[in-house]
Amino acid sequence: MGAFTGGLRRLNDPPILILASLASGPKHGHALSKDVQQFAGVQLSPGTLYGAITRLEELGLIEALAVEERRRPYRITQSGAAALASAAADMRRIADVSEHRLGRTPRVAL
Amino acid sequence: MSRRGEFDSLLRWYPRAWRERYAQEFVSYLEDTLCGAAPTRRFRASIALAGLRERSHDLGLVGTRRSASDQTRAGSLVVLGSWSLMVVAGSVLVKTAEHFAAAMPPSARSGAQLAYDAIAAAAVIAAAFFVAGALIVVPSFFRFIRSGGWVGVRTNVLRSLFALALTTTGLLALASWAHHLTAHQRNGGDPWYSGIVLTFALIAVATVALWTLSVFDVVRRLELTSRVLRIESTFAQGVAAMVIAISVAAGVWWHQVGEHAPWFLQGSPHGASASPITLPLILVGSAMAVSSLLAMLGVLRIVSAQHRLEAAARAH
Repeated sequence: MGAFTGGLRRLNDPPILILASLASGPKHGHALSKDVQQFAGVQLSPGTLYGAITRLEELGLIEALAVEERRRPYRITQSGAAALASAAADMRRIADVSEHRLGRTPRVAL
Repeated sequence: MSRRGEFDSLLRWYPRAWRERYAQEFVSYLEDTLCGAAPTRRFRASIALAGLRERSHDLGLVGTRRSASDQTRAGSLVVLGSWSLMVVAGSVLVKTAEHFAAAMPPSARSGAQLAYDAIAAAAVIAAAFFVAGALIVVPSFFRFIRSGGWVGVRTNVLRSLFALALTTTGLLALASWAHHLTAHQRNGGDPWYSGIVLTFALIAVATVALWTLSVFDVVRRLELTSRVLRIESTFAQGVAAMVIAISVAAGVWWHQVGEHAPWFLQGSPHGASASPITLPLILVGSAMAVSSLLAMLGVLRIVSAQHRLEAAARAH
């Protein structure tokens, strides 16, 4: 997964948060930032947000759409969706192992 | 400054290619986010850092966005930057070390002398690598000039030439003036002379910096074959090794003189109790440490590019 997604791993990794946000539909920079703040409680700084957008676009995980009133929306590509699914599976596995070791019931069988 | 002008100045942190692609939407994102408020210091810092990171990617200093050849070139230029810094730091050290042997007890002289000779030898070898590296790109440079490249680098090169002319003229005039002064006047007894020496030392440092930037500017634009680039990177690794050797030898020299003749470092009378730690030596030591670090980073970049090339060759 690492090579495919350019090393996306951590839960609060900005590229993962952006992919997760775009999974619900195309968004421009400000809408992305607000959505990430809402569902993850993470405030992406402007440098981090656009650094991640640049990186994801280079990797072909998101693509730019036509400009709408000077704002450019982005949408997740098929590769991006696959990378997000892979990252989510990794994170779920870690979460399940953690819950199991804490004596709680994991959501999937280990 | 208007808010739009403020955004434009923040965008200058980013490389031109990035600005051409993202500036418009980035500014509208900033306007949406700030809603007319002034950007905070943290907000500006985030943009500045991200811009520098993009520039590092753009120059091939980090990441794999640029080709392995560009990465090799970037690594070699980092080593060149480290050498420029070492030239400045080394010049100050040489001036500080003038006549140190006479100040040391004969029984303790050999260690410091050996370290000083090692510094001189490493500097000569590094300079030879540097000259050889410059000579092998001369044909590419002439091709670049013939194809109209001069226009793009003219401003930087002319500025550097002007600084060089100013420094050379100033140093010749100072040398001629110093000829008419006593040793006491030359060594701090004449405040006018000391002030002008300091001024020209700063101008000389600026000249080295300007030439380094000019060489960066020119070399980035040259068409270099993979063979020339490989030889260039070998010379760069040689320079890097010498930069590190000079730093180590300078540390040994400082330790030896500090242990056996600390009064020399402070300019105190022979035998006086003195600390071996002085501000000029701290600055020199720091500059040499930074220079060595840059040299290592440059070499790491070159080696990483070589690994990429080897991996690509294996894949074929």
